[in-house]
Amino acid sequence: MTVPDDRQASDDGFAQEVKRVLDGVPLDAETAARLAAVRRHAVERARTYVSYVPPRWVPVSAMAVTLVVLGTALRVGDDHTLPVLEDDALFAAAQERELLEELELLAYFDELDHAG
Amino acid sequence: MNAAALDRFLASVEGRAFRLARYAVRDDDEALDIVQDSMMTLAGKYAHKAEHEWAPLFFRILHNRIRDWHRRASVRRRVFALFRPRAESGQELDPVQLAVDGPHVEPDHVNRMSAAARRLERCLTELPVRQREAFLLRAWEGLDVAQTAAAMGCSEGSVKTHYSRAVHRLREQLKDDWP
Repeated sequence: MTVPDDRQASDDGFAQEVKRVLDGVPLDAETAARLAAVRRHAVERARTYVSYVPPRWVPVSAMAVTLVVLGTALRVGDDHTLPVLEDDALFAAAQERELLEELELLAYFDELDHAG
Repeated sequence: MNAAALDRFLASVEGRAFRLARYAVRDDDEALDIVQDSMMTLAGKYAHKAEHEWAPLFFRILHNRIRDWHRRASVRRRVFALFRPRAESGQELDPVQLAVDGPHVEPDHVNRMSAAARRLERCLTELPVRQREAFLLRAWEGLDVAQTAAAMGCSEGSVKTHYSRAVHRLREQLKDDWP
């Protein structure tokens, strides 16, 4: 929807008139003084305010520390994968048992040879 | 940060900001607190920004402070309503009590205003909040549509709508008393 030019001009004229009337109303002296004091205080704050800008190495260091922590956490996580280690232990134990059985069998054959 | 430029900027907007806040909260002391808070926030957090960004930023902060004030006032009203004895139906409200509890505006200020300005200020306080903000930021503060949208936290289309409605409503209300 477009606003007709004459209405647009009329609205603009009205707005300018409102601005003129509002600008013509002065602030009372007390309020003006309080506002000026507030303004001085704000400017003083801006003057003394020192914004902290982190050095460039901070993000890089943060990234490195994060990677180390993540890596450590993942490795600790690996320690919890016990089933594989348990299987290995059982397998090794089983192999050990078979070896013992073989040794016992060999010893038995030796006994038979000596007896014979 | 250019302290002199910041001082000039704040000096140029402080009066309008104060009255904009007063139209919204209808209390001189509260309006002054809101302007003070807005100035301190701008100076503390945004003074390092480019100077042309200060006006939308400042009025955005002011807008947020006014909105916060209305929220707190709304909560206060609800809490006090719980403990206030209910008025009998049809009972007239005491106009003296209303005057005592009403908004505090310096009487000197009212006396100095012309009839047209008084009528205009009354109509401005009666406008819906968003319409008043859009109108004052555009017509009085001189912000363009994009800056007004940034200050009000809304779209440019909304600014145009609010502004147009405000102009229409003010012209309707002021047609008999307008110079």
